[in-house]
Amino acid sequence: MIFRILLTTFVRRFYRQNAGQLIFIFILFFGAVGELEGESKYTGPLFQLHYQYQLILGMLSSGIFMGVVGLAWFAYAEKCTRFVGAALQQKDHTCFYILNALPRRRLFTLFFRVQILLLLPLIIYSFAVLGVAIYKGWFLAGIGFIIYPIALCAMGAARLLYRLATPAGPSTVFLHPGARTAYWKFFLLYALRHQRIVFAGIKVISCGILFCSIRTLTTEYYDLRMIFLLFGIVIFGHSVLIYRFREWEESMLHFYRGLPVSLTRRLGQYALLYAIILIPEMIVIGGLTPAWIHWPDTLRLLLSGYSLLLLQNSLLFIALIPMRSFLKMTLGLFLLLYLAVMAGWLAAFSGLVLATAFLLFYRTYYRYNS
Amino acid sequence: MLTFTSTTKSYGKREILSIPSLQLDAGIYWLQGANGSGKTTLLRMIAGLLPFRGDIHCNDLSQRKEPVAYRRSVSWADAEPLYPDFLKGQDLVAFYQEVRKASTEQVNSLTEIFQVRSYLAAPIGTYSSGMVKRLSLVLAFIGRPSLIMLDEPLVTLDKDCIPVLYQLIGHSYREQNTSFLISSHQDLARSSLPEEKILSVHNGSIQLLTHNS
Repeated sequence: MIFRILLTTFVRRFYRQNAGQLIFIFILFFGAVGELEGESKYTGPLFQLHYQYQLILGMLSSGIFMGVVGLAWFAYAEKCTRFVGAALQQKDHTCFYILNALPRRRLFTLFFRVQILLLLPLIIYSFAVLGVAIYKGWFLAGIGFIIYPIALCAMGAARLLYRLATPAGPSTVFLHPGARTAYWKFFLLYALRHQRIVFAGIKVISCGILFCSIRTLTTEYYDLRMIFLLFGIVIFGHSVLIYRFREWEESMLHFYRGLPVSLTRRLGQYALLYAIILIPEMIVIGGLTPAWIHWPDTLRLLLSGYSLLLLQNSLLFIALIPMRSFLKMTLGLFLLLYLAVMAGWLAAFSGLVLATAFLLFYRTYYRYNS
Repeated sequence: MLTFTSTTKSYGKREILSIPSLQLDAGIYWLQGANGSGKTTLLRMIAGLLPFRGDIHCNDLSQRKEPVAYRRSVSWADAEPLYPDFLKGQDLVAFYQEVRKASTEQVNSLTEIFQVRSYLAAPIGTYSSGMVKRLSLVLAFIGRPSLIMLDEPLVTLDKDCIPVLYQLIGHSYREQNTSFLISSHQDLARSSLPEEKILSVHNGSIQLLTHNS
């Protein structure tokens, strides 16, 4: 019975809230990998299997690759533990402190089972790694890949046990905003304080994809369509962050709507925020310009990304719809982006998106029910 | 001071408030009504936090047509204020001071009156609910609003702080002609407040009941 409550409260909620990110990562690993015509002897599902097999071989044979995977898995486990830990500290979950009355071993087992379910995608994948390791005769590495996520679950469970017994007070602010503070800084502080893993994950993936994809361009092969689409996927990966920003703003910063600030200045705060959010991508693309990509294309790429971020933000001022609906909406936007890229109308599309973002904001800001 | 014109508020198809026409003079109003009668909704509408049909004017400033000037003339303190836990009280005070263009003297005086100085440098997440309440009251008084709305101001407030709040309300009303709309389930010490009037929210409408001169 207790486990069922924990399952509903933490596990289901975690997967529901992070469905967008998990789908994004899944698409990156399975959907975004395409076969080059005539380059591979495998086609269709066999190509995917072959690709994953090669990926796992890379993990098992390269120390650096193994380390990167280990770090990524650690980051995911950390995210899961923090999610449950933060939920335990929410006011509406204070009833869970009654769990302290349970024997420590039973409580540890309960949290361990919760952690296992949260890390299930990693555990399933680690069995695939084990299979390949056994096939290649690399037993030690294979066993390591099984033990590692289980150990992460155990560590997470132990930390949750400690958190439940000794509820920690919030620590001091990570980055002091200064005496005179601007509204956009609140969001950056929130991202750094409460969304560190999501924020860092999005930025690492985003910059990595941009860097790798732009480096494929040559003077003979200079087709930007795939890069625009990949960058579009990356921008839609930001949807989770944008949604969390708005959700948090509604609960913690709703006072701002009642303050004497003009709509233009309010819009300026969001415009500045999302320009700052895009700085890592700007640095990556800027560093590759003009050696790999031409300046006009750089500007088109950044404008398309920036305008889509602002539009997603403005959409959430019509109403703070459930995340699932919001992600569906952003998927629709991505399809429009796809059509614009294929038709070669990206610049016009970006201008239209930017104008729509501004218009929506001006039309809806004072009209939504918080 | 406050004028309602064909003001209605609905959630979905359910109409919560309907105020065809109402004018309130400057003063101190105690807003009364049962749970769920729409007191907080009314205050949030006046504060510009909720959309509604019609219009509300404060000192002839229309919320719809002059949203910035209107918002400068009203201020609000929530019943259960929530602020980001990682921010410090002083960050929010500085933010309000900048947005409301308030003087440092006023801010210093308010932080002194509500005795919040000792903990303003700590993150809000470490405050007790009473400390957060005091901070929200400081923020509500920052600037020179013509109307300050206080939603359940006595909830979680220390006994020592209540007379201080009454004194400040009385002083602001007499010296700066600031009006107040106070929603409270607890009995306000009516003798401590000058010229208090009672507003009742009942069945989606508002009625001015009595004067207490």
